[in-house]
Amino acid sequence: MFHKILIANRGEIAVRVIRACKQMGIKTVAVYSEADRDLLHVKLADESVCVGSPSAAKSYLNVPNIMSAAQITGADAIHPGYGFLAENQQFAEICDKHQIHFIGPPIEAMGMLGDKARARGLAERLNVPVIPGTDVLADLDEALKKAKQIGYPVMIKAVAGGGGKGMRFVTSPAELEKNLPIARAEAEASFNDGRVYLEKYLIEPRHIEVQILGDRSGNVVAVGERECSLQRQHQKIMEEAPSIAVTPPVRKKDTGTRDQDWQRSSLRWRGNH
Amino acid sequence: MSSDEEVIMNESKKTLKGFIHELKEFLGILHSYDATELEWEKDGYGIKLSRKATRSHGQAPVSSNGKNRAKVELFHVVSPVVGTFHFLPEMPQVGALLKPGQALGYVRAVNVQHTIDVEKPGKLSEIHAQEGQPVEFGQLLFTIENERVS
Repeated sequence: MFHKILIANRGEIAVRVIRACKQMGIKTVAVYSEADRDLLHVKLADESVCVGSPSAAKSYLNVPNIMSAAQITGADAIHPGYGFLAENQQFAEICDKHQIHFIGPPIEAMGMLGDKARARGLAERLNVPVIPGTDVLADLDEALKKAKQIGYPVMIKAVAGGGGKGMRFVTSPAELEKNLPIARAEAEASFNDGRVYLEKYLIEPRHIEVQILGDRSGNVVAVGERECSLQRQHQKIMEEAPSIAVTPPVRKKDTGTRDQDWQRSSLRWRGNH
Repeated sequence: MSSDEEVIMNESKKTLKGFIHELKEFLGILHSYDATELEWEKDGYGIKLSRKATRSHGQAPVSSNGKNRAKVELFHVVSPVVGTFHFLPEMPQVGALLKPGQALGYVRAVNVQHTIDVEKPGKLSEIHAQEGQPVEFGQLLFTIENERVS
């Protein structure tokens, strides 16, 4: 059990983490930017530390100041909430180096799933169904060959992608030739990683996520699905649970089998993802 | 103006004077404790004052000196990072004259040391930091007076 947790976030997620900590008798430290000193999470936490000027890059993403805030307050764990540092593998490594628990997935799992090409490979090895697609593309010739095998339309996607950046929809070889360098350049600019791959484009698909809870002892449970299809510009607007599109047999298959529990365990998940 | 009206006017002036006097006292309390909010209530009426915390450069009251007016400017030296504050072996004393670039102490953040130095010349008027104190970003460490004649 942790003694004191620093919450490296703001808004509703910070408030929710503080509430859970209070119920568990764990002390909390809020961090805030100069513009956020009057926010609710600052008032609710046991302690608070100003970590920078108003821009997120200089406060909530300011790793040295956040690490320092954890040290001066004697926090033994950092909860990153979501967004900001939650999927930053380097930050998790820094926490580990300073013997502060990063409440989230283990470093190796973050690396594996942050790289979409590696995540696809892992899913395939564990017999989890994936959309037909490729590994990282070497050049245009390979892209044209693989796209023909998969069948148009296809999506060019960034390996380090997220939020629709470095993503292009193509319906023909000519479009692929035109869009491949654009997607690469966009991915390079957004993620400092220009690697891209192809995936079969699904027309009007559903975006369903399954919540998984795991602990350090290897216990893993799936706690049902979320319907995340309602999106604008590749960002979710609303999540709904349960999904009206998921039938009971599909739900059982997605969340209940022994095999899949083993698959989740193989990622050594810890926390809620 | 009738005598009744004069009485009312005089009473109003007295009330206004009293109110201004009280207001000045409240403002004095607010500033002397460097508070950002003050609320006072008595016999069903009250007053609430609030101000923004001053972390940037401030100005002390202007003193008059014949034709030349000496203006005292206050500079606040704040912590640029989160960490633990330490004085240098030669600890600065209140009243000491400081040169630009002169180091007053340092803030240790994780494994990096950030020197706290003076940007403009002046006299050290107040030391807010304590040895070994944990400090947050923007926390007031020193106040420096800079007197200039205009």
